[in-house]
Amino acid sequence: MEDLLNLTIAQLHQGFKDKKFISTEATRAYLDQIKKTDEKIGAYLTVTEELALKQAKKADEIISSGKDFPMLCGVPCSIKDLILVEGEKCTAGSKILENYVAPYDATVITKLKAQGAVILGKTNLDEFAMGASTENSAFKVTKNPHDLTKVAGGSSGGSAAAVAAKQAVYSLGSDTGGSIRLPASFCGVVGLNPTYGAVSRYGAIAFASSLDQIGPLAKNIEDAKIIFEAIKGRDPLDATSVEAPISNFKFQISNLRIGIPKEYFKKGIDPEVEKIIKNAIAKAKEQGAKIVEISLPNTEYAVACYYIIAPCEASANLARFDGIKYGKSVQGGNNLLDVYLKSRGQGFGAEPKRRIMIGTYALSSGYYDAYYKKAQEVRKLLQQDFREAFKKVDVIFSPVSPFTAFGVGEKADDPLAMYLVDVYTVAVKLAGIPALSLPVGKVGKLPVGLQIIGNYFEENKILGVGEAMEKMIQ
Amino acid sequence: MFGLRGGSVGVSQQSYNKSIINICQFFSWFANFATIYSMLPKEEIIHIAKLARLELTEQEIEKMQKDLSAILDYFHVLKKAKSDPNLRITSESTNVSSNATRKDLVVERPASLANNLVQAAPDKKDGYVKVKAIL
Repeated sequence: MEDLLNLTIAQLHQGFKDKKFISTEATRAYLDQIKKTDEKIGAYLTVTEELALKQAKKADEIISSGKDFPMLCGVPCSIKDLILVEGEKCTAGSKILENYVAPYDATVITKLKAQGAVILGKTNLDEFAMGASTENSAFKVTKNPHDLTKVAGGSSGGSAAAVAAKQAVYSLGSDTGGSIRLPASFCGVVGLNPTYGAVSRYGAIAFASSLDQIGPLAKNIEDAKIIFEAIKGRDPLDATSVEAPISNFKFQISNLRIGIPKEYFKKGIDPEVEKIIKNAIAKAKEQGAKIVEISLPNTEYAVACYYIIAPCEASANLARFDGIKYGKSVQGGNNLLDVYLKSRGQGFGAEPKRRIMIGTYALSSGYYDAYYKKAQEVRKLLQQDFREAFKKVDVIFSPVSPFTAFGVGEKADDPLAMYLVDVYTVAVKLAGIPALSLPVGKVGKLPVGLQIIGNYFEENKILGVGEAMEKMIQ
Repeated sequence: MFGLRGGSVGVSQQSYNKSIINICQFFSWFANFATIYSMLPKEEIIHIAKLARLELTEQEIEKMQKDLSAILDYFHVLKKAKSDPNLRITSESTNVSSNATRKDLVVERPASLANNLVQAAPDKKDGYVKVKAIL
């Protein structure tokens, strides 16, 4: 059974077609792997074994009917635990939603189910996706499968670790400031953050609504592309989703112009990481790609800008957790206000509280202009930076993170140090453009991800370039 | 109610003459912040927590004072950023610029959905969500 765990989506699909094995076998192999390994890794918050086996049986019926069947039919996956799967618990990694059962499916789940997907379980995350290490989960810390003393990255750490540890063929995560790309980089898997609006956010528990975006974590670029194709598109239930004008992009590496932002290679990057990224760039150059140094002059403001805008939006979004509509409720006070104060005070962990406080402060009378308005202006500058850059280049290459996975506990008590982990990933989000993380090497045991950034709705371009890079690196 | 937090600006701007990406250097600034900077007053933390409807313990208030002071000081880097009158805030700050509307029609949804939603409430009676008396 071991080899079933190594197969990609396309390989499993072909195997089902050729009747080499059935989905129930593949599903059982993954469930066994979770049982064997997850005590140490801690990728899953809930294993939905019953649902998975039921879906696998249904997929096997579709496959055995002999007709064509969708690519994701019968393929076992995992879902970040802030995306709703009807009838299953959805905690967002928070005590305030510890016993919350999803009343409906997120649109991405409806789309996966329509393809006949098999859902193995819900994966761990930083509470409400707020964090870069999955240490902010109220339930457990997800360890890096390459070195159990290191973090998996975050906030989609459970999703990345599950794919890296062969506990799922692929996973759906969400990226608000780097939450797909960073754990993908730390765990050595492919992670795609789509253009804002390319994928419906309906049924994803909201953190920062102008930034949140659902995307795939997968074994390789081909898989990421298959999953993206399955989940993208306009959804009447998400007013910000659009039918993306995503074109099929054909290119020759010799015609490609790759931008290297000089601001991303200043002091602060681990020299070993820099070496691996530069090596990947050199390989593209050997194949004839034109390497162009570019400037993203407002880079130094990105982290501060992000950590104003995201908490402001979070403080508004998390107002819905009031102890009345759902989740933890602490009664016993004198009045309604006591229910609010106590339910939220006891239900939220340290990081959501911190961000609610920052957001409330920055939006409060007297500070709005200095913080929120200023950050919105800077956001426009960051968007201009990328617009200018994409006049000169097709794609941008950069590291995903200045270092490899750090030690469990290393930054846990220092919120600001944790925020700075996002230095290469937040600008992309503030601009709303797509980017992916592709594993291109290792420092010791720990993987290093190359970030490939594209212009609006050019997912196919960055995936195409990623696929070419994947071949060069192997 | 709030006093503007002067005094902290000068030092942080000097500090940011160097690159933000220099993380190692940043750690030493951070250590300095904690000691050199005047913290947000405790009363302000309590006031913000009340606005945010969060009950904080004494310990949490102290930690919040320290963390928020350092984080807000860090935000001063934005003062260096170009200010451009053309950068006015519009309602859209993303690339999605067109309005998305639907026809004003009743959309049929299964009764089970309404039931599921009410069931999620911690306190309910006869298909309604129960709330403590407001007045």
